[in-house]
Amino acid sequence: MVRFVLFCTLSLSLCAQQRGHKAHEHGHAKLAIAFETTTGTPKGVVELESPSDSIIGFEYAAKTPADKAKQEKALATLKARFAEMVVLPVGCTMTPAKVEVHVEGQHSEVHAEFNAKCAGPIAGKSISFGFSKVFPKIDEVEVQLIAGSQQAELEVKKDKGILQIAK
Amino acid sequence: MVLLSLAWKSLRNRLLTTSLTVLSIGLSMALLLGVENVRVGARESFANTISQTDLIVGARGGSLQLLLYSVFRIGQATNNISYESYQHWKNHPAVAWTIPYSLGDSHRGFRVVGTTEDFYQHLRFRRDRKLEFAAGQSPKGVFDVVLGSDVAQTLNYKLGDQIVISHGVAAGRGIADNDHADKPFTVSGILKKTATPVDRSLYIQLEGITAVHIDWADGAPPMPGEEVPASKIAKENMKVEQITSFLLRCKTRIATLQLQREINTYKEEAMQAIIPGVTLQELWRTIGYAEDALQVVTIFVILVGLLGMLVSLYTSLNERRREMAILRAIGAGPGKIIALLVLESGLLAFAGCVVGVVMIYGLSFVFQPIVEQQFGLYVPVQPPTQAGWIYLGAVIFAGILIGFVPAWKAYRNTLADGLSIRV
Repeated sequence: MVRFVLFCTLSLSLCAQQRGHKAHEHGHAKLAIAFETTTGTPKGVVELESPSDSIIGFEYAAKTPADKAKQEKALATLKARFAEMVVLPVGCTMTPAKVEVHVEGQHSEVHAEFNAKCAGPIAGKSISFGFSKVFPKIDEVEVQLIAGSQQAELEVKKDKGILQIAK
Repeated sequence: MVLLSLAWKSLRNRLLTTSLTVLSIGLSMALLLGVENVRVGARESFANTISQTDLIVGARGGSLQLLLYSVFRIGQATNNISYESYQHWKNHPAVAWTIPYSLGDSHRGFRVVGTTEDFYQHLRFRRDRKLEFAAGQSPKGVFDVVLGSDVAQTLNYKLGDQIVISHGVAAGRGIADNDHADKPFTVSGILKKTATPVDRSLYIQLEGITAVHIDWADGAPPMPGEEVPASKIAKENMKVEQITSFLLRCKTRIATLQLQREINTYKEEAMQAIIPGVTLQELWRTIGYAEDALQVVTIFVILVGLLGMLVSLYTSLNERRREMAILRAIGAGPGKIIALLVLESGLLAFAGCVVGVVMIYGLSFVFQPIVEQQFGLYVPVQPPTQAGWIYLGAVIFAGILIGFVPAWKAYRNTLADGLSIRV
């Protein structure tokens, strides 16, 4: 009976735990931008997900003081220069909400969230990018935009491409 | 001003050639603008198929596949999702509404969609248009069915008609063995035309999908004598266990990103959430090559039109040798002769553009309702797009530029003709 209960518990716990893994491609980052509205004084969030290799330079958990310092420096650069990487319309500012490193098996990812606030309407304006200026290893970024009723996407290669916010 | 009047009079003097040249440029311009309008229309019709939906959620797989079977009813889902997971997300505090879809059955080549009242309440297309009934109402009983307008029109069904749905989505008539003939549905409503894939489906309640399969075992119909008669099936007793996908609207747009991430990393079940507008753009990018090919063809048509103009101006020069010689004789310098011909060619191109614009807007205005009715393609009648203005400007500029060829020839001719005793 005990064996049976143990077997059931084990199989249940195995079933409950998923073995899914997220796709991970060095040099390829994902950016998501969401604005509640495009009129008035819009508020929004900007999220970046990138392989750690492209930002920090390695993907293992930082253990030595040198690695820790390197990681901290990279994350500080990310926070400080994010406005150069994602150039929102004039009058918009971003403040970091969360910047962390997720290690999953052999790989790790940097996840950064910024809150955005704009002083005026952003309808009809555009968003440009400068990822590789700050982190040259970021080659390609898949950008998703939700702005009011607009849903759009753009593939930014080597910082080329402008995302137009609908009027 | 004198030059303009001269150019105008000279063109009027050759009215037939001028009209034909203007018409040929006009036609090619209309074609170019028409292709641009259809391109914008197709893109918008495509994007407007679904509005106000923040996320489409289904079993993990390709995002394009999820969009295609959930919105366009093309292809099949590889996996279903449990009703329990659906309930979990439906009751999530960030969610405003959801529309569940259960797919897999068909009726004479049209898909049958199991859904709830939320479908009729919340589904929006072309920005904020909601579903309306041409007749009847949403299904109230387990065996009620609502028809999309194309289904009703093609199969000539009316309210109260009884129909049998088939297991599977084989095109044409359902396979007899797979018919749910023992449980016919009654048409309770017919939707108004939406010019979206909604028109090409039949809608029953989620419980209806469960009901027709209640006596099935291992994907096979019941053995004779083991069927559960429709009269013994009550909605309350139907337990929905799975659905194919669902549409979701968040309370705020900002919450969409957070919720998408939560769904994509949901531990209980492998699910994925896509932003429909984003995936639609991806799809558009994939099939955009055909659009480019069309664009290239129309640009060649414009080139042919402009070349026609060049030929007509060039050949007319022979007839106008005397005119040019007289102009030179009365004191028109080479600059004036060149300016006159360039002006003429510019005027031709401008007139061609005007004719083209009038033609395309006239045609769009007349044929818009017909195209929408027949092809479900809403071509907007609106001022030229940015690309349209660029084309117009480019054609006028090319017209002016082309004018320099006959102008140079005329300039040289007048010199020779002026000195020659043949004139």
